Amino acid sequence: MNDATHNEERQVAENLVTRVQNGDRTAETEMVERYSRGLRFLLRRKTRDTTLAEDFLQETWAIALVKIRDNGLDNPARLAGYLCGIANNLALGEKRRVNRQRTSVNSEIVALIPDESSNPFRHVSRAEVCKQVRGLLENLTKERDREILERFYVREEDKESICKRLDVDGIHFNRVLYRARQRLKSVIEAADKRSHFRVVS
Amino acid sequence: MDEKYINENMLVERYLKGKLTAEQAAAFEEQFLSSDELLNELEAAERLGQGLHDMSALENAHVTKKPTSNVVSLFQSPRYAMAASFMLLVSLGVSSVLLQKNAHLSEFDSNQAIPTEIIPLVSVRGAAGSELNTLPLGDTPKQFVLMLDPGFETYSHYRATVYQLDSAKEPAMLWQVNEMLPGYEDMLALSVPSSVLNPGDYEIQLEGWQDEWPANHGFEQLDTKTFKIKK
Repeated sequence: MNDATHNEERQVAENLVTRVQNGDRTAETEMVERYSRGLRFLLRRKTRDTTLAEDFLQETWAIALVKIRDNGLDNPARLAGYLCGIANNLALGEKRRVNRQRTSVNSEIVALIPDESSNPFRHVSRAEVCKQVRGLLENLTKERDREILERFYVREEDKESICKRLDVDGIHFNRVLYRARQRLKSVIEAADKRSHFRVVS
Repeated sequence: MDEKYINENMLVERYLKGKLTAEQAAAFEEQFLSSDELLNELEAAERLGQGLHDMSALENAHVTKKPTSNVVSLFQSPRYAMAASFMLLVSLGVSSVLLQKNAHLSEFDSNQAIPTEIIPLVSVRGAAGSELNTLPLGDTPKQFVLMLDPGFETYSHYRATVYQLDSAKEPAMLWQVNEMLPGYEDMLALSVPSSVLNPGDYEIQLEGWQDEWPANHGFEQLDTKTFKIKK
């Protein structure tokens, strides 16, 4: 995120918080749409449970919207940080198995939260990803690059030991990982675009 | 925390592996919450890891790997590769000496072996640049092979242009090599004869080209590196 994007995010956040505090329901929808994908990702990583992550996502919004409507935020530009804090606390609370005081399901909030239909990375099946990754590895010209990916992602070895063992420098290592990620990202996004074509009668 | 910083420090992979400190993770989460681009990177890396795991599991389920013999292990070992590379270099050196000593026997006796210096150019900022990337010209003609990092994105081929810098004038184009492809360690090797260089400051502009681009599409500017030639 460069400075311009960072400033833009701060301005958008401040604007959304002010509008929500002033009772603007459209702003609530915008806010939920803007941050739900990231919150969902964060919660899924922390809980390792898709269903629980969805529950916590609703709860995060229930807590955040009530607070913002009633009192705004001390630092509205840091809205994203505030939302992350709530989500992390919920996930941490679950980990510690502390009795949580669950907020009741608010159907109004549930309706605001976008589903994952627009996210190509959640659409694509596990078998399809496996096929794409196989193709990606077959296209690698160097056996060593394939080994870097396998050692890092499958055997969970750390960068330093892989670089030492395979006698590669850190820059090359980073590049292999980056390129593999970019290639997979492009094929998933391209496949998603193709799937959006529909026969219109 | 811009894109370059994130890639150079592998924040995406480190976050997914839980290897960031609590402060780093909190700052990173705050950033990706409002960035679809960063979320795409995270999800792609997550799917890549999952795909590799699944593939490995499938392969292990179907293939029983033959135990590797000691001899095969020896030939596959990095130590053997290093030893073999060393022997190759020694034999090349000996061959080169023999070739020069017996030049009168060769039909290529007009060709003189030109000393070559291989120099990896590093990105430098500010005053540090005056110390690093400084190449001595010397008295005898030689060939500089400047190793350039093409960056993270992959292009069909690359173009490097050397400019002579002079504060009083516009940079003057001096040397250009097109159709470059990454070689050793994915680096680009730009060969420049010392005869075209004089003491002073130089700049290399590195550009990339994708074959699928239309003909009227320009090269994409990738990186600029500076170096200095001294006597």
